[in-house]
Amino acid sequence: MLEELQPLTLPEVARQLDLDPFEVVRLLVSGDAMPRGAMVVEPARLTRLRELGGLEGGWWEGVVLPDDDDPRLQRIRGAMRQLISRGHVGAANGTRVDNIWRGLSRPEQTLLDDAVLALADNGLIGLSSTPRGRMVFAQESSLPQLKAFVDGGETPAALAEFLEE
Amino acid sequence: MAAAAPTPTVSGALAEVDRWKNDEEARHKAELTEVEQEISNLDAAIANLHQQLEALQTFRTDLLVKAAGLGSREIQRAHTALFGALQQQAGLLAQRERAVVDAVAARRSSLPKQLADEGLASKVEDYQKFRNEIEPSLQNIPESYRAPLIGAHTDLTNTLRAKVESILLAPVEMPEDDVSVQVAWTVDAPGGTPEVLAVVLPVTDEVQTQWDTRGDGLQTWMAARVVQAVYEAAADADWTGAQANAGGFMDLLAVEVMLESAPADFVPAFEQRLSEVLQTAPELVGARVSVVPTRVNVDYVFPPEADEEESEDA
Repeated sequence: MLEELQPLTLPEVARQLDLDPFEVVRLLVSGDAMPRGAMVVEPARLTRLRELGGLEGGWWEGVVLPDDDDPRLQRIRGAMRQLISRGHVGAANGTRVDNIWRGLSRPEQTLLDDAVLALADNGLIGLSSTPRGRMVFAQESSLPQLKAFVDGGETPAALAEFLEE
Repeated sequence: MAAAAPTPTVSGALAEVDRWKNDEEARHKAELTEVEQEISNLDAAIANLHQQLEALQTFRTDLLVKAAGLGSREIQRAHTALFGALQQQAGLLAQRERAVVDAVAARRSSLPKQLADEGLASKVEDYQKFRNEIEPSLQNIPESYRAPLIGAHTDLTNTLRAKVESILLAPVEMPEDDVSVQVAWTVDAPGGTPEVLAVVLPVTDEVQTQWDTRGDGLQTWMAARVVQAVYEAAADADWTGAQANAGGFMDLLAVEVMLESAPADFVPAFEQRLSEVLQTAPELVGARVSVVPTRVNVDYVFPPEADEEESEDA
């Protein structure tokens, strides 16, 4: 029972925040909170880290995925639909890229991570790095194409290529 | 009176000519045979010399090829030597990690005794009693009683947590000999402009690929410190676009940073931060792990492909 009073290891923090451990390090640096003794973090810091990083809870509870024969495309279309509906359009309105997949299984997280890169290659979404983390947003100039993809239109070339691999 | 000399005859004179002719023919034949033999000997010698010449020309070509390829073979050998050394160091680090993880676990399991030694045994007992017996039925207690109970429990929790943290926030101190390892780093700048910063750690790539099942340990700590150096250096250089990407490279952990948008002072800042962070990280010092950052030739980390080398040679 004393475990709950103990400071958390880096993987424990990463699990609790559902965040890559090296992204936790980035947030700790950003918040000037890197451990100065053992590599552990006081549980009280977690709330601050969530706020600092703009970590949102999972996007997926109760979400009905769009129709698609390919379950991977269902998930990807669903993610892009939420990116738009949550208002993350344009560089000024980006959200942490890991907000997209937080709460999903590791394989689904990896799928969306790769899909985001492919869609960014196609110019439908944008990515940027900040001291708090990597941000993603729908490109305003390509919004009609992204919406068409979300609505079941043609799969963008880079994404189709990735899905065929 | 002297006898008269025989009178030469025509037939005798012609016979003499025949003898001369036969002698000459025999001599010429012998000389011709001798010359033919000499020519044959010389032909054989020339053929032999041709063979030797061809062999020497082939040898010279081989030597020229080897001399031309010396640079790439040196790079290949350096690449193999570098990663061989880092993998050996990773083995040593893994051994020390096991000892450190055991020491951390032992310290955590001795926590109740340490708290008892500090005179906190009754507080621990109260804490456990609240969590096990009171908290589950808290909603049945009248509000006026509930608030003071929760307040007392919060105070107790804070007291115990502060004590637990004071014990566990200190790095473990290992009694073993120092383990000395290196972190190799390089900057790829093919056109003179830095494109990628790459750091290779003597750490298994499982630290990244299996972080959620692997658990904590010395190798994770070292990787975290390298990532810390990246982001601290980015802050030093006022660069908001830094992104440290970690992944496996020849079974070791590599951290890469794309430098297209990096200011010129990022790399010097990284060099300084990496050195400071690795030499002063309390958990590494406590584990008696000495880490030396070493900048290496970029080709030793990423040897050029054969066709790339050929085009460079051309």
